[in-house]
Amino acid sequence: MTTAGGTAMIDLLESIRSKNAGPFTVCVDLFFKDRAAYDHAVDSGAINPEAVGALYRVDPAAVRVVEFVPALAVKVSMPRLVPGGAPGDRDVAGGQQFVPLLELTI
Amino acid sequence: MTDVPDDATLSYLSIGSVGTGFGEGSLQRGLSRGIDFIGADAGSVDGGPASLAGGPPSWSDAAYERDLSLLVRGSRQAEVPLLVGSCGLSGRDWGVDYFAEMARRTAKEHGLRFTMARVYTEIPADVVATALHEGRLHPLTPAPHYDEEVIRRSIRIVGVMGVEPFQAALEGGADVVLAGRTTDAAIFAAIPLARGFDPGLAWHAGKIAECGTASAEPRRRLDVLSVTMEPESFVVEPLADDIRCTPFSVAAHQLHEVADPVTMVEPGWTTDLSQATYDPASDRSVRVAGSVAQKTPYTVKLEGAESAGFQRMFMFSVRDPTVLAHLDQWAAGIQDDIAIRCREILGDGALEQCQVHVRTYGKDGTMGPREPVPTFEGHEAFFLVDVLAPTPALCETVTSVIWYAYLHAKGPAWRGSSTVAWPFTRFVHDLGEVPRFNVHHVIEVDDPLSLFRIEYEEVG
Repeated sequence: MTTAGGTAMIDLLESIRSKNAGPFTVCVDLFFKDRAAYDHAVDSGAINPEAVGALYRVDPAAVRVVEFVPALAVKVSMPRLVPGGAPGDRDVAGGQQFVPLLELTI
Repeated sequence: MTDVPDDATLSYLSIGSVGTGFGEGSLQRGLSRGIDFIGADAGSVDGGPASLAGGPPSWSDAAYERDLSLLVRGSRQAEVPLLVGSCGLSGRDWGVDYFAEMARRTAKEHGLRFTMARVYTEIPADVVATALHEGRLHPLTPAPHYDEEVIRRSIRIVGVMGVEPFQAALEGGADVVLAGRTTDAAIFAAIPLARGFDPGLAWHAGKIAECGTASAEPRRRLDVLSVTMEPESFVVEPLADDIRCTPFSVAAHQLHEVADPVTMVEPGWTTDLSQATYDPASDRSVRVAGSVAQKTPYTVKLEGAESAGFQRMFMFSVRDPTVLAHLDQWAAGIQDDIAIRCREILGDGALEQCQVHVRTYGKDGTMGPREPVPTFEGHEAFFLVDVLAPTPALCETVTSVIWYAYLHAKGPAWRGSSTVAWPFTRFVHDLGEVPRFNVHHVIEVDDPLSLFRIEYEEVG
């Protein structure tokens, strides 16, 4: 769906998932529907550390965004709020932490 | 970098994860093709530090024994080595002994004889402290503060081993190697590297293989993956008929559990995957080429856990629409009662020694401060509250005070008192002493074997 504000992320995606990469980092993998959707998202520059930092309330300096063409994917990583499974954790494996990225408009 | 003849091949099988199962038919199909070894990963830190700190592994005795027994028997049937990494989930020494006992039982029940190596990866605090003082301990990003005091208070520290202990155990005559904490890819890279296959391909294939058919589609239960190394490429193929590897499914697996999908850092090696290619080798197998590895100074990652304190929890739900309409106010209204009652029982400052974690499902229970919709929505809310305290007695008292405050928290609309709903007759649940991971560092070593201990035994 294209609106005045751009395309909703969910309309460009084949799949999205999140998971820990070790106990101190959580990653979101965004898999795009096709090369056009991938290019549209990557070329727009919308997925960047500042935007991710604002969505997750994380210091952009701690956010990494890596593009990975073979899987038409973009990988976003950031520090966890607490180490995986430590007291205060809410999502030990990090499996639901992708959701804020769906808020992004391309 | 390849050090093998042009027509050399080496094949192996990877099952997904010991304890989560795989098809016996898939294993047999793989064995019948003629293979060089079987590899199996059993570890994960995704469930947190409980297992490393001394808790049980993820699955039942029966589930582990079914899988391990099939693997041991398969390895003996084909007369090829079996390499198992991260025994018992966390790879602590107990897990190696736990798997070893199952392997001995399998040997006895099926009349098998073999040489087994147990590789232990727990590292004494003294060894880590010495490395710290010698400047051989380096933080990864992000890393918690780590000093001698933290090292000394750790419940347990393991080193995540690379390929060398597997290779040493095989040179020592082992048919079955049961290892403590291991990098996932090292289980599968050890033999291809020892046989002279290209290191970039050996490591990359190990990464793709580590979760069995997680690199195939559609994603179903994990099953057996076949990997064939050749001098200039490798081919991966699932052994169950109803799934297949595609260039997309294989490349997508490269993103699994890593922050960087194109740079693979392993003990003693870094592999650049940025030029790798993924092409169909058939309608269900994929050929991968182009990964390039370089030797690096040898480092071993540490995993360690310490006590975070004592924890109790309770849960309840709210269905009253008049409370739900003012949920934050309602919860805030009990804070004074909690503080007063804790002071009455425990004196000043006791409550302040505790951490109280309130998760409000329906509002921000899953995401906490990262929730993009931090307002309550829905017709019922579920609360999960826990208290972390420095002693069991303090934890018991503070948790019961907070529980009671929520129990009869005054609703904003009605006269008189109300009561929340909870599902179990026991309302406070003691979680005991709970751990947290406390290290994200590597230790620099000259000898890749120096931190690990290999013990051999004749089984059967």
